[in-house]
Amino acid sequence: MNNMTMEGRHKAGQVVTHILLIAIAIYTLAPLALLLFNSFKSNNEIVESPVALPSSWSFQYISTAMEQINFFKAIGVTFVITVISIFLLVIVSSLAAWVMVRSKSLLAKIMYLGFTAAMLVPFQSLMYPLLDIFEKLGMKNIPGLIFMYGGFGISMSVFLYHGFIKSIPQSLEEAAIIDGANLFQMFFNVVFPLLKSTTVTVIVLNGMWIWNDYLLPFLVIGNRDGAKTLTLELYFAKLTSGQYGNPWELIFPAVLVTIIPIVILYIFVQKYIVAGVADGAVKM
Amino acid sequence: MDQYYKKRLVPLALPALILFLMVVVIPFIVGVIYSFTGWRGTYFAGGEHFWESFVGFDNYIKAFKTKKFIEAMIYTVKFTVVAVIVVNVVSLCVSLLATYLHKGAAAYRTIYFLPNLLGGLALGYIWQFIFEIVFSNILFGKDGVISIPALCNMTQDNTKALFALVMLFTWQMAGYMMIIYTTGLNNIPKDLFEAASIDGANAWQRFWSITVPMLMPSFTIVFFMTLSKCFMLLDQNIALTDGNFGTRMLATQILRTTRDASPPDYGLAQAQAVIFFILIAVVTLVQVNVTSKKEVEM
Amino acid sequence: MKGKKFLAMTLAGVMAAGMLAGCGGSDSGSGDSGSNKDYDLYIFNTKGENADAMEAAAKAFGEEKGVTVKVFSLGSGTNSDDTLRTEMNSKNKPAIFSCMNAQALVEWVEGGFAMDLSKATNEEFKKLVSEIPESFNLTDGSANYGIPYNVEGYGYIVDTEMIAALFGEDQVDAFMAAFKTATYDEFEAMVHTLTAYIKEGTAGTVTLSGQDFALVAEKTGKAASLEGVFSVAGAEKWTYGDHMVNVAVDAIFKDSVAASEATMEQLEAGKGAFEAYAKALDLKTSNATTERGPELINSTTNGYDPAVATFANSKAIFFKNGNWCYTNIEKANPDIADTLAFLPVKMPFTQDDIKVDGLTVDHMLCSIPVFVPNYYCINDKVSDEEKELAQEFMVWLNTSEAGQKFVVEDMAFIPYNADPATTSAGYSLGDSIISYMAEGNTLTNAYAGAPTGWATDTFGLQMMENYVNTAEWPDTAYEDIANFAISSWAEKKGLE
Repeated sequence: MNNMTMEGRHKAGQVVTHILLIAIAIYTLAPLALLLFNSFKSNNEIVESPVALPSSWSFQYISTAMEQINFFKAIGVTFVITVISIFLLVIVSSLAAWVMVRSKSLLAKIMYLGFTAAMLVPFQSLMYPLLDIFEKLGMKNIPGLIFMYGGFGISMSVFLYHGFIKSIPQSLEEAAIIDGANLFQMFFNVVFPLLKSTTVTVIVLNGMWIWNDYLLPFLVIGNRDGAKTLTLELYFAKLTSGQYGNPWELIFPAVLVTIIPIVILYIFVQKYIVAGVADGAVKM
Repeated sequence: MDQYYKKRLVPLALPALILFLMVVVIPFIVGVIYSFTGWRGTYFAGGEHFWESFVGFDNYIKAFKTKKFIEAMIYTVKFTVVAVIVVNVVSLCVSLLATYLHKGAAAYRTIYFLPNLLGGLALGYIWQFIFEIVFSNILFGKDGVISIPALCNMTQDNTKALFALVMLFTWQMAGYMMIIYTTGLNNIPKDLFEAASIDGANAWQRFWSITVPMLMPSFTIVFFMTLSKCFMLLDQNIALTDGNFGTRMLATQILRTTRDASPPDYGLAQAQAVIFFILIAVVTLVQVNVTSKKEVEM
Repeated sequence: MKGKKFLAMTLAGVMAAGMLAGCGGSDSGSGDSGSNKDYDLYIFNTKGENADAMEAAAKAFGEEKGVTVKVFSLGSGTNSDDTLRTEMNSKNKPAIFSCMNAQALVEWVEGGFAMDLSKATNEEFKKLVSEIPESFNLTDGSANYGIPYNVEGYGYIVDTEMIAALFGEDQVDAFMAAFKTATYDEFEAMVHTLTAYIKEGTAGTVTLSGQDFALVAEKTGKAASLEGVFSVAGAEKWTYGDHMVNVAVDAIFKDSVAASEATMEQLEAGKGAFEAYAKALDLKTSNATTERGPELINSTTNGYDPAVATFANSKAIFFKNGNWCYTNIEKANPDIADTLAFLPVKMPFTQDDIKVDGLTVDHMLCSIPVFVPNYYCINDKVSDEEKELAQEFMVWLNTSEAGQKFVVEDMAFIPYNADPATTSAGYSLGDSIISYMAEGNTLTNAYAGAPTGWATDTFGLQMMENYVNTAEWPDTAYEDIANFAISSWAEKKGLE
């Protein structure tokens, strides 16, 4: 009898919890639903009946928006920038973190301290000189942008790798050296595969940031002809079509198409993203 | 063996160092130097080179005399206090609820994390629409579903806008922080709770004597992340109110300083940025120190 | 082996990225960042609206002279300052760049960028400079630095067909003429009569310049859709922060140079003019299509585009804006575009409020501000050959038949050196401005001499945050507004 009520109360608790969590889920999803519905409406319809379902599911506004923001080109540009930046970050920071952990010298400690302290530097405090310097070097362009992402991402990446490598025993590497492997063989054959989970973390955390970044492309690429990232296209599309107003019939579908690729990706790799976020936190 | 690595330290770390030096260290040092000059963006007031344009601490004194800068600093601190508390309470509560579930927790987590995938700018546009149209006209306006003046025209009032920004920020960040808390909760050995239950501790006692102390490392991280993100908030601030109604936060203030005067005072902007850095460094270091100490004590 | 291959790839990738970056890859779309220039003349154009026409004009000039001209235009609405500063920092600086007004000029003079036009080498160019009307000069008080882009003007835009619907077809010309010379009191009475007509349907009589105009008893045609007297873009602080307050500043200072040299005494003497502004703003915002209050500054429903739409769809009679707004109105409702005209923005000035020698209340009542919105400057830091070419281009654009064709037709500009007697802008609002110029009924843009950031971001913001969003104004509102205008100006300027 007693057991029954316990179980009953427990069941009720489960139901109540589900209801609460569903309510929060609705709060989370409502703005996104709004975004979806309003991507199929004209400006008038959006302002007159913003929360209603669209009167027809026509893709006219979405295709106009995709044209306006040069969707396919922009997504290509953003993809290339993100992938190369991350590739650069993973290789450079894993190598550096590994050798810093293993060499155990004072210099390595100082370097590590420098890398981690930089996580507290707000972008604003070096933004203008950075642009000035890169301008003088002739690097205010996409390769320069990738370089900058490399520089800004390196602190956190080194930090994450450093924390993980400390926990890997050195004996494996010693064995490899005795087997005659050279340094790079040893790193890429022995050490790097062990770092897989951290590498995923580094990719996820940096990827989310670089993909959505707006300020750096804005300052580096700006409103010039040619290659722009998705966020930049979005910003300028809003500016040029309604100089002083809000062209909602463009903004909603444009925002929608910019997030669709990343949502699809998210659905496939969400397990890694969650692991990455959790790991990233634990190692701090 | 150590010698083997020591010899290779510099060559292998070199690419990372080059990136780091070029993008972060050198610009930062240059920035600190420029904050002591009459830099105007394209030239230095009073000379061909920066060393001919030194003004001592003038820019720093000017920064503290700039009303907008002080206001922005106060507003940033106010926002940070409210937002850090709200995000932490919300994400911790949601994590506790989700870990209590037998199944389905992963699905909720998937949903709650979704807003993180949106950039601050895109998200700002959507929420501007929500606050201006959905809240003000449809839900809480005079002719709305229920009239709640506090939720109307939230982008048009200094205090209301602060809470609007907190709502947006919580919506965006809670899912992320929830993952960290959930991981922390799952790492607490279950037998601790069982032992406490047998000793007769109720749920509340178990929470305070087991969950909170065991979760201290997660608190350190979540506090650190929310603190620094709140301080550096920019996109959402610009998209929602553009700093009107005294809602300029520090990052926006620094960006806009160059528009506030002619010729543009980049030296002043730079001085504000250096003060900004010191503020962030002090606050986060103190926080990490305090919460880490708690970890040890508990 | 696998490791080695991977390593080689990696290093190659890193090096390639580094090298690309180091050499300033030209495939990035960022234009030229290397030192080799692939042009003879570089023009930096900040007016996005004329980007295509400027490109075409530069090409035509290039073909005529056998040189390569590079044009860089920014999209409209973009803040151009940062981009221009970047270009000025680079090795390949623009030879011709844009500058808005005397305030913005300070930076380029101090930095040694803007060329003193008296140092010009080209004879024809010297002649061009000497012929710029004095009030259109871009000057720091000692030298002249700019060639005007064009002239623009603003006032209350009105649809003459709306006037016909309100007062009868045969009354339109008489109404327009009588409005221009009407006193502020007559204007105010008219606004109240019109509001009563729109809200309650009472067909009263309007008296302007002593003449009576009776409203048509039944609201028909365009009058039937009216919702208010004024369409107000309440969310756009520049509409009342820059342009509307300029009318009051015009009463205090002769032009922007005089305003930039304002003393505390002069500002305090302007109190009456600022109060007149506050009264006019009160009248306008309390008779708008949207009730004054938080809704009026909602950027989604009362931003620039919605306000244009409100006017274009015949929901309001008057809309204070400039000729740049023509294309927006045309886009919102093409039927209305051909029958538009400007009427002056009236404020209750007394002769005591006006501090400019020779300026009368009557002149202010019947005039609209006509001013130069932007200037071309020549960069002193480019090579002598390029400077010479820049001067030739300016001469060509502003005097040659081919150049003027681009300015008038393709850019849809009113040339600053146009002869009002013979020029036609080719569209209703442009022609309306030319007619004011022909009559000599123009005011200046003295507000451009106010301290940087005062007009929009300080004064306009104050109006938006405390008045345009507030239904009931306190009794002291007019005085408070005037005092704020004076004290905030003085504070920004560092006056005691």
